[in-house]
Amino acid sequence: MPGKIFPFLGIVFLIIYPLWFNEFLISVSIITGIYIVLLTGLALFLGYGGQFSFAQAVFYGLGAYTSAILTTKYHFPVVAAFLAGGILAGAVGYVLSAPILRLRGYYLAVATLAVCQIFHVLVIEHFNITGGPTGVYDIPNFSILGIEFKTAGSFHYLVWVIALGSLLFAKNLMNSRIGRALKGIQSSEEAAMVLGINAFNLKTKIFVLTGVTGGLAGGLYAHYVSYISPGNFTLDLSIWLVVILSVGGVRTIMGVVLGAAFTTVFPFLLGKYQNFNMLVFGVILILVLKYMPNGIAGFLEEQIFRMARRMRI
Amino acid sequence: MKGKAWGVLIVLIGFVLAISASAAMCQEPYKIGVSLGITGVQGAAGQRQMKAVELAVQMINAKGGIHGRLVKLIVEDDQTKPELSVAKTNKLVSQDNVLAIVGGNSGDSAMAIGATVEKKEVPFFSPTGFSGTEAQRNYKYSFLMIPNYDDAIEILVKYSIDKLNCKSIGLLRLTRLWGVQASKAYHDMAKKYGITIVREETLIDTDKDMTPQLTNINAANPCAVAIWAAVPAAAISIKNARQLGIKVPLLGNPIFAAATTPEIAGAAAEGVIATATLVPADPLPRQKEYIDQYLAKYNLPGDMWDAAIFDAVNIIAHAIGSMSPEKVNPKSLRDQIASIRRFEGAGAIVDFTKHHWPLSESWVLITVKNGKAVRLEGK
Amino acid sequence: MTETQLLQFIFSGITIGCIYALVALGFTIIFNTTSIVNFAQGDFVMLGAMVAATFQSLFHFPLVIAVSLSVLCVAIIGLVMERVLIHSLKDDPRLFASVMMTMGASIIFNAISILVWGADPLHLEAFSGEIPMRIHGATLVPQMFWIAGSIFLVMIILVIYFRFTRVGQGMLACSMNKDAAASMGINVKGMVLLSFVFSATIGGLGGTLVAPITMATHDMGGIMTLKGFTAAIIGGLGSVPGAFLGGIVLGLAESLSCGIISSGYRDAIALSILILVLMLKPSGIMGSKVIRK
Repeated sequence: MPGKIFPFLGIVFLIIYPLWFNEFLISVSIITGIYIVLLTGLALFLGYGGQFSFAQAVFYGLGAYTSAILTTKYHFPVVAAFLAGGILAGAVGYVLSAPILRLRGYYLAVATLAVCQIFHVLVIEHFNITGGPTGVYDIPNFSILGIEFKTAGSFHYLVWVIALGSLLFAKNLMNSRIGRALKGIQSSEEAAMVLGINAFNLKTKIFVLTGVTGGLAGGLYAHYVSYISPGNFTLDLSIWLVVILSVGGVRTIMGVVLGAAFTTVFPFLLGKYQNFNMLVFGVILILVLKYMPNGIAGFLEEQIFRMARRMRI
Repeated sequence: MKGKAWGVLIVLIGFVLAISASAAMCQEPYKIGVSLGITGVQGAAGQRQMKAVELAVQMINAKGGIHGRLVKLIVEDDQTKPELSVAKTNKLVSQDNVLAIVGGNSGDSAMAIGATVEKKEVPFFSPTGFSGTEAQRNYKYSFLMIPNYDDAIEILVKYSIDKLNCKSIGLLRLTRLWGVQASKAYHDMAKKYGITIVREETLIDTDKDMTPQLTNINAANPCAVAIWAAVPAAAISIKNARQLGIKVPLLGNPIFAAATTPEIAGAAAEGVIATATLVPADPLPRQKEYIDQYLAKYNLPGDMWDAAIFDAVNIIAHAIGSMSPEKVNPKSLRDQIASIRRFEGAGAIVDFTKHHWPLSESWVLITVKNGKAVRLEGK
Repeated sequence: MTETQLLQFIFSGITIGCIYALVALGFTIIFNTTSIVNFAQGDFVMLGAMVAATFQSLFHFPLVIAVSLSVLCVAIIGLVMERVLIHSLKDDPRLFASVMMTMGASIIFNAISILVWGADPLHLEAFSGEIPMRIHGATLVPQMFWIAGSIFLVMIILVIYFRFTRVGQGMLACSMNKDAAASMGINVKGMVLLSFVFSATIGGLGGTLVAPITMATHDMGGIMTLKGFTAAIIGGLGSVPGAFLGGIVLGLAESLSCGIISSGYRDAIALSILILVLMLKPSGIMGSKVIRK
């Protein structure tokens, strides 16, 4: 069955990858993996919660800063700081959900946008904690129980274990009771409520999930680039993440992967000047929205499905 | 069906093929990487700096290159975003195998690229000044081509005391790294020379109206107001200040010397005082050639930041030139650069054996007269 | 803090608030007709500013001609945008896609702006000079009166339009129920087109009004979109007086928190006020009780 071959090939590819390609290309795969973690939760919230969230950069930043500060200033072990980042981001998501998640549509969008800007200001102003505009530097490499991930190749494996783990988690979630309930709200929130599903609680859970995954992604990022500043976690990033999921496809795993890969690879694609790239991207975005309602991933899946049917596999 | 891995495969393979196809396979020229914010917040400056880099390379290659080999630029636009500059730097080092990198035209990017090249061991030149952080002070591979802003502020403070008889200064500065550093410098100078910062306010690059902040500063009765911002915020601040009726002298940062500032600020810019390394309308003898060449090629006045990056390319070329070709690699190049004792460029004067940024004697006091920045006599 | 200072903050706040209100009004018009929020609204402002500045500084047209031509150009751009993007999506009920389309348009406008005009800020002359006036020690520049006057004029026109003219009421009907409106003989497609043209016109006008104060820069589009959108939400999406109120509230919140509390915390405070408003009244100050998504 093709369903089994592709993932197997993919995993083999990922294992060979660092042995074959140069350090820059390894960095591409690492950043892609980190973005997959960052995007997974958001994809669920967007695709099944059905809501805009422009707060993803906040969770990314919370995770990054927490892990960075705990390891540089307080000499925590990396794993502990990393997990703390995810937990803190999730906790903040939980606290925010109370006032914000009762809003709908555009109002929710603006509220998350506001949260993103407020976070940015707080990071810059509280320089005693966050280093302000200077940022945090000399962030140590990731290490687990004393084993340091010094080379890019080793970190590649770690990141992809976590990335694939989060994709698997998301997939299982969608197949579970919670997933079915989510699909229920998505079609009709009123009907779901009649059936006893508490939409608000559900949305909160997913929002917290975006927080946790965002925070973990942030931790990975901080320990990879070793220097973070407020400029890494802006509203522009939040908006971009939503846009790229729309292009990639919000409801499939492939969409998340495509979105992550595209984000990483995009600045290198068309030419040295980014505004040409942005122009082309704008056109692509519009074309995808017009002709591929389920994003590029959805479109590709349909094509593969048709191909498979025709070949009677 | 798990299409995820399929998606990964397609995208990454496609990308790898595309990049491999585009990488020039020629080993002959000396490759210098450029990672500049050509679009984005500092886009205007980035574009001018890009022109200066191209001018430098053109001049070098016109003379036959170095050791008979041409210099080739590999240009990346990092949109003045720190995470993009890291990604681009990675590409330039690992994919394109450049000898050195110039760029990082904002404080954040310079720091981010600096952290990256320190690990990759490739020399890096930036048209920015020292950020004041311990990390950057220890970076062996970062070379900053703007003299220390702390020294500039010291010159301004001394001028304020000696020539303006003014010991209470109001300060309006950016929230980002550059402004934080200026704030710290002003406060350090305040302690050193016994002046007071009567009121401090902040702004961000995209602010369009500084009247609230300036109103507060004015209310504290300073006898001079210091502004530390980039274009166009700096120009708007100057305009706002005069519109509010603030008549005291305005002290500024090198941005005030750029041609665009008096253009935008108009008559309000008359009489502002600042420091710069290069004044386009009034260059020192060693700077004239650069100004003329830039003007001839681009019909634009050069400014101190593009002069800085112009010098960077020339220093790299000079260093390569004084080594034997087989010995040239990023690490040895860095050592060669670090041993340069005195280089008087179009922008600043460097002595890298002392510190990795230019000497403070590179600063000159300037003022704006009749819409143009000119050197102020009597430093 | 003296009365002079307070007055100055209020003047600044109202001035920038009026511009936010203009952008918010642009959002409102399109929203009222199509339920779409146009993420390229701020870019109309940017284009208006850039084009006017080009006509005036580069081609040396007299100011009046430069401004009028610029507004006309932006109106045409709005028309083209509607035809190319929205028109084709008309039968697709997915709001998400429509909104993302406008985001795509915004990306394209921005990219084109950098390609055409570069990254340097452009200058536009003030409409009636720059000699400041003093009231109780606080400064007012003449451009402020143009801005305030324009917003009032636009608002009055819009209120009359939506409430008292058949065309305006037709527009409102479209957003509530397209099919019902069509069956009443309302030209839905025409209404949508008109809404985009109006919004673009207002946006372009805003650009020419604000450029003498803030310069025409390529990044002003994104910021205006965000601020205008925020203002529209504060005031209640879909309400014309709400858009005006929201703009003024946002402008004042920014200016006052900048002056009185701290310039660094300015955005945080203004946006916290937004969140407070939304928690107390989720549909904005003057928003209707029926929350249309």
